[in-house]
Amino acid sequence: MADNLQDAIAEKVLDIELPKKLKAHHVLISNRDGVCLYSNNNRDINTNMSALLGGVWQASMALIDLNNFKTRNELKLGFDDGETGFCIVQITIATRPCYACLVFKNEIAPGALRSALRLWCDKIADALVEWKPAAHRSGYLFKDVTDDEIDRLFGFGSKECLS
Amino acid sequence: MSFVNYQRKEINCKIVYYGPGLGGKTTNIQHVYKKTSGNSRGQMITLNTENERTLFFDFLPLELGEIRGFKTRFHLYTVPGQVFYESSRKLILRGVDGVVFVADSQVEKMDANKESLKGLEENLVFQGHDLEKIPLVMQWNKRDLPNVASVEDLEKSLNPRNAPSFEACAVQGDGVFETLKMVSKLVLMNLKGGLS
Repeated sequence: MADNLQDAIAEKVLDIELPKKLKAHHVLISNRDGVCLYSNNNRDINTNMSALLGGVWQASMALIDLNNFKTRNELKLGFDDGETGFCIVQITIATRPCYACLVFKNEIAPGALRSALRLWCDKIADALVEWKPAAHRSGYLFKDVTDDEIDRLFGFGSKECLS
Repeated sequence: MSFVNYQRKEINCKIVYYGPGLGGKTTNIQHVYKKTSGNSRGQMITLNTENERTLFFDFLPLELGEIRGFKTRFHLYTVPGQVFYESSRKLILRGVDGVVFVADSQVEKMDANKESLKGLEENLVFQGHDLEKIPLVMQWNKRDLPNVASVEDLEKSLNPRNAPSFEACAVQGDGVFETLKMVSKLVLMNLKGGLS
């Protein structure tokens, strides 16, 4: 199995396909820190969406905590006009809290879409319940990084980016 | 936390610009946005108040080049500086890999700088970070203004850990990339997980 959660999800999606009714829409899964783990649509906005997803969910949780809200039911988060909008569900993939977001347009029954998203996410989470990252890699990825390497990394745009 | 995909050879890191209100955090990343080419930068998101103060966060994804074969992405965030947005600041620091503390150099802002720095330390501890280990860069911003504290005073009051520091005038872009490059370097050198 893949040693990275992005690849592990990608593998599972081959077996557990998105339901037809979701395929027409944008589905995205991000981790708690706002990194995109999966999207059915390779769009430029995925990075931004992932950052906002984490923010929206965590801000909502903070609001709930402020009000000492306690529930044993599943929390729902959505923003729509009845036909167009988005919904978010929280899933736990291999003990890691993640968020799945569905952006829908011109839908008669967005509630049914949300349920389908929930079910699909649960299947993905069940399939990855035993997943673990590859054995811990000791040490640092880069022992040292030179100023030249950083200059090359920032070698875009204007000369100002370079020292 | 940083996210390293060894198969795809990709690195994602989170850098947060922290500091007192109106210190120039948003100006820093706006300058980065202006000076980077379309391929390298994503869309900048700003969640502002009516008065164009940061309400929740600013976000700028930067897709840099490769370092030793790893494609590198930095996600730059700012926190809202105003005192009453403490809970938002806590949230935004979650999973941070490196911090730029943007201090306002004006003498009358020293107390606000100190208060903000204290908040940063508390919030980092709250998020489980070791203050001695997290990459931190100090930026002495607004050096172009008349009533600024000396760099020595700023170092003495705000930089007891001797973190790397830079003078800046973010509104003109001075010191912005120097600061970002330093924190990027520290973050990359702090990434855990050897290749062998």
